[in-house]
Amino acid sequence: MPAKVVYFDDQIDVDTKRLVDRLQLSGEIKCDLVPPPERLPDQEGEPPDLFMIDQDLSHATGYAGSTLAEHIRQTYPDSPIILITRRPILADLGVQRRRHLSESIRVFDELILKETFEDRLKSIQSLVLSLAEGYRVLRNTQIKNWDSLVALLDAGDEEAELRQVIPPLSIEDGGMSTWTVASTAYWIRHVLLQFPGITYDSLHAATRLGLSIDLFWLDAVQRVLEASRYEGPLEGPDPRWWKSKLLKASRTLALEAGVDGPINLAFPEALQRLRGVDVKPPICIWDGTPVADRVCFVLQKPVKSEHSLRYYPDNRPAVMDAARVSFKAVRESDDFNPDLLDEESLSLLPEIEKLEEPGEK
Amino acid sequence: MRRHQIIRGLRGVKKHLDGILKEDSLGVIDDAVAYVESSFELYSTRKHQTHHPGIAHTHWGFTIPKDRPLRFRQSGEIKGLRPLVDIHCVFRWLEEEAPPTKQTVAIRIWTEQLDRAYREEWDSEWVLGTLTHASGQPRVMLRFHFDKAEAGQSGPKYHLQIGGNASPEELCWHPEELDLPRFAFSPMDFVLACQMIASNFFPEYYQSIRDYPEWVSIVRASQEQFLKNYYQQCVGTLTDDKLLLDSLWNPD
Repeated sequence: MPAKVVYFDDQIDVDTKRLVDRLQLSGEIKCDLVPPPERLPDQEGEPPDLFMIDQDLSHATGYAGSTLAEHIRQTYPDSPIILITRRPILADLGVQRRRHLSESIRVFDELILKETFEDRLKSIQSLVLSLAEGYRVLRNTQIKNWDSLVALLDAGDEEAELRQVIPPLSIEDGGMSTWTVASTAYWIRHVLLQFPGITYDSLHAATRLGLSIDLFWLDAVQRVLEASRYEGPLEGPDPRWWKSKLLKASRTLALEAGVDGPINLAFPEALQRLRGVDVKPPICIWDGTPVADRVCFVLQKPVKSEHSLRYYPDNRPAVMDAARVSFKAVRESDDFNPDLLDEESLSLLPEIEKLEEPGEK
Repeated sequence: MRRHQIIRGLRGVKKHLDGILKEDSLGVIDDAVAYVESSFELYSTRKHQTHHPGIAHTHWGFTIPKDRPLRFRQSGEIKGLRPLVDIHCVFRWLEEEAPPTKQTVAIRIWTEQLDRAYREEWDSEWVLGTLTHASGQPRVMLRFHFDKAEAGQSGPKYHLQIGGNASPEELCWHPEELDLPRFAFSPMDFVLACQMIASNFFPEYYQSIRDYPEWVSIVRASQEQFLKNYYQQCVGTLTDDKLLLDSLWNPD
């Protein structure tokens, strides 16, 4: 059965209808385009699997899409919401309201720019389905405590570390902490799956295990690691792997091959010995040589620890892997922000600027 | 020692000593935990099989390798020195309740300070060249080995060696041909070794965590498993008015 989506937009024109048609293209999504109500609606009947709301409802109503989103979250707290907007609308909001919108991510689940629909259609369809299905699972599971969350996520090996992450509780009136579907969904998507540490994306997983990203995706490698894949709710279009399970699976193969030593050296050697894989280690973005053991946050490329600095780009919990920024990003990237370094790293910037390019040595 | 206790000890060190561990050392402990779980599963399924090659079926445990040790942050200044400390170890078990069959813990104390690493009156120019070739090249000043003697090895069953096998890059100046004496010493496990480093090199930090019930519980578990029998044996020997070193000697 397709996921039912209700899409509130005050401009039901050719462009919007086209957007809906595109969304429904795969047959997995059924999207009803409806004008926003003049008055904010009371709860009536079963909610759809997901709400989509245009931020700019100014042609038909006196309120913004985010206001409607807030109302729907209160009325249907267990339903996912995607806010849609256009870049100029976002720009017109001004700094304060933009900041407010980005900080309202707990009111809605995702903000999508209309302009990106064409290019990102598949990933947006995947996001809609993931949110609809993920919320359905969370609603049906009725999470009440850590144990039920751990069981739902199939996070047995990771439980010890999960407990060190701020739990996905909402504070209700009177200061009582409660488990809600929306706060749990937020936590899974924006803490557990977002930051490398308890789960890894493919680049972090490959680098941790001493493999180039191409090698990581080989069938022979994936067969070894398949049980490590995150298969809980709300997995996005980019897969994730449980760190502990990755390390355990890779160490098991190393032990079977009789190879000891650090896992990012032992696992590739074991793959070579037992699976005949032609090993390619991750190459450092700074000096162009193996074995890179970290990922540059800015360039999203492998880098050696000694060719990178500690970086503080977000509010990741302490139990997650610390972010690093490569010397290359420090010297060449416009996205590098020195304000996100600590004092010790800041003091090293003049030395890094003076370093010879590795190829010139 | 039960597998879950070992994992709890490893994770306890990661959790409670994270303020004095180098950032990359947290991954070292994750690897050690995975090592315990993987090797235990392989050992449990294969201990009765004889056709599997490799090391997995003969024992279980964990290794923190010498080339990727658990590194502590640079400690505060101690009489002008800012030492770096790391630890590497090998532990192997057969039965969960039995003592380890192999038990080796090495602690190294390094310095990156050239004025301390290079002793003009003693060291060759080669040493100076090596130390200055790469900026910040550290040098081992001291190393300790806490071992359980191999079968038939002469010496106390549990012993401490000061020195031990040096890697060339450490520039250790102890004459290699000299057999290091083995001092009788209590069995050392990973948690107890980390406690020793924290209390000696990071006294303020250690003071701040030493009374946490979770930390105390982890250390007590290690004491129970590694020290209790040893000290009971010591007290028994002294009570019986026998020779302590002889009673602690590794049997032939």
